[in-house]
Amino acid sequence: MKKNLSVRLLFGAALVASLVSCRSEDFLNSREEAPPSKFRVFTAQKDETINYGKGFKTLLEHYDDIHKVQHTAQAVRNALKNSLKTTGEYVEMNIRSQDFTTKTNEKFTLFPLIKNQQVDGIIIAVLKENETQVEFLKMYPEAENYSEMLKLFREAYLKNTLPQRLAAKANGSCSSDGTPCDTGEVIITMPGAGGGYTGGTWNGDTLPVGGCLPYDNCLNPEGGGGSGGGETTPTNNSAPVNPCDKLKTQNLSTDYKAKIEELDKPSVFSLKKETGFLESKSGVFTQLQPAASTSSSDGMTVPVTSNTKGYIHTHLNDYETGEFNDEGLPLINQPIRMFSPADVNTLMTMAGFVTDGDYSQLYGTMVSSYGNYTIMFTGTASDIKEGFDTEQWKLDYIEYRKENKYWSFEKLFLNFLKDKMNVQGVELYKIKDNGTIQKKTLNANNNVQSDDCPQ
Amino acid sequence: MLLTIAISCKAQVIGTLEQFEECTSRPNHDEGCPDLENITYVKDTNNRLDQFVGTWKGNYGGKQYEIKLEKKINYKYFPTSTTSWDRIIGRMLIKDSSGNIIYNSMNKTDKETYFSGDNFQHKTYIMTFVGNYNCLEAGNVYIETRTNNPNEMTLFYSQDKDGLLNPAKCPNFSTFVPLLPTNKMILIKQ
Repeated sequence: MKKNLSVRLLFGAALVASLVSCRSEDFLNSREEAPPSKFRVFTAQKDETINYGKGFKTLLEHYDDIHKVQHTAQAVRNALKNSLKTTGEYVEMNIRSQDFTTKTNEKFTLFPLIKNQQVDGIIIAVLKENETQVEFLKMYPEAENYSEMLKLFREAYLKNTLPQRLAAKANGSCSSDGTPCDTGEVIITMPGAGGGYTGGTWNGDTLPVGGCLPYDNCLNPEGGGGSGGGETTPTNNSAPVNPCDKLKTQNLSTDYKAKIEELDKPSVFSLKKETGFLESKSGVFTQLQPAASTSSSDGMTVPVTSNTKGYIHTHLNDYETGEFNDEGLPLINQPIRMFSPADVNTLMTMAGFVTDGDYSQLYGTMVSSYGNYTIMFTGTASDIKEGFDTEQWKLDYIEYRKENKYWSFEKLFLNFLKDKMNVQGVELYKIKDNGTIQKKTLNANNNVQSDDCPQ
Repeated sequence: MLLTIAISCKAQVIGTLEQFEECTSRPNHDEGCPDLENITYVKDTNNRLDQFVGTWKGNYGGKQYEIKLEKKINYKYFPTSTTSWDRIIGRMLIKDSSGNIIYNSMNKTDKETYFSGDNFQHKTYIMTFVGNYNCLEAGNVYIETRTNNPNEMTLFYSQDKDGLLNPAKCPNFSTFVPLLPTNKMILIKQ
């Protein structure tokens, strides 16, 4: 009987999966004609106000149900009922914050993440891209008011689960088999995280950033509602990377442009330390942290993970050292306003995390008074080389610069990459102020050749 | 005709440190100086490097410094480089206040000193130094002999700010002290 049931379940799941995948393909084929659909749960009926928090709950619980995965307390309860293995980490969708709206009109609601019967983190449910995409992020502990919000969630969780725990007398768990507590609906007014949200992808492998289709909640089933915002859609491994197209799209992205604009100004170039952002695969930007330092040393930490899509950072203008020569003239330090071997290393580290052969999203951007440049990885797994962040490479780059003083920074970098680092599959692009993107390569005489990307 | 080409291919085109100092002071120096690209040897025609040659000693921040500077003629770091330079190569012996050696490059080959000259900025000669790069120790070292006393030399270090820190490789970055002082110290010629 049990076996029968599981066979039927499997069959059912396969049917759902095949339906979903057929629909996804349809979506891909028809994406140019059909605009992405909105969600039913986020569409108001008559004079009704949309309850976003409740909508996220409906979506995620239904998603768990149709995909036989566990992200919510309800899914864990159902799994226990069916004697299935349960996850140790889930979202309590009954407890949530008020709904927030960002400046760009994205909606989000916060939920507590439960681990070992305790609130262990905060999940941000986001509705974006003109209300056609939903994403679940795990809030970074560095987010504004994080501790305060975590505390509020902990208090609410404890208060609403304590009576059950006492009744169950099971020392800290709602019941002996680990069944999640039934908290009832609780809405807490939170201080918010500075008008926006700061988090990284949560359970990206089982819960893609997506449109309404995987949630089976499309307002217009004929419209596109496919499985992804493009960024997390599984792509064909052999698909050729076209950096020109990628960069064109990137430079049209409002979020990306905003970050470039934040950095691309004399006041930032004349700071005494570099600054920048890290972008996650779901498109969330995090400010790169300057390492805590003394007055003598500065550095920036670029914490690359498997979830990193790219980074943007500045290279500084010539700056005064603070010391003067015997004649009272200020002494100047002239930085190399171009990617360093360590910058290439960071891109390689990101490529090293890729498991599906699709490197096309990855990028490293340098913003400076000399211009804005992006490096893209266009090679294959065998082109991934690391170890360019050492003393020896730093020295070699400095000496190379010293011996080729008459070269432009573009020529310096491209020749060093080819001649010394022996790197294949890293391409250099200049993003000009007028939006033109130029591919920079070396010609037969090792001089820089600039080719405009097709408009 | 052929002979002329053969000769011109081999001929060395001599430029000066001053020409390259002018190059780096141009407002558009990021674009390089294509007009100097034919130069194959950057010579210290006015022997301005000679003033630094010798052994220099001094104390600063509880450390004792012994710095040996040597002038190299027609020097190349990369044998394949098309241009050679006259440069100063530096070697250092640094001791802490108890006399323990904390850094010693006295017996290193030229390429292993990680401390070599670049060019002048006015009267000051800029050298580059790479130390503990896990803690982002790399940058310029500015040396200048005193106008009124050539046996006295000032020196300070200014870090390059383009380093990316891996905290795992330098857990104590916040208290890291570079080998060379960031404020001017005075060294005496021996």
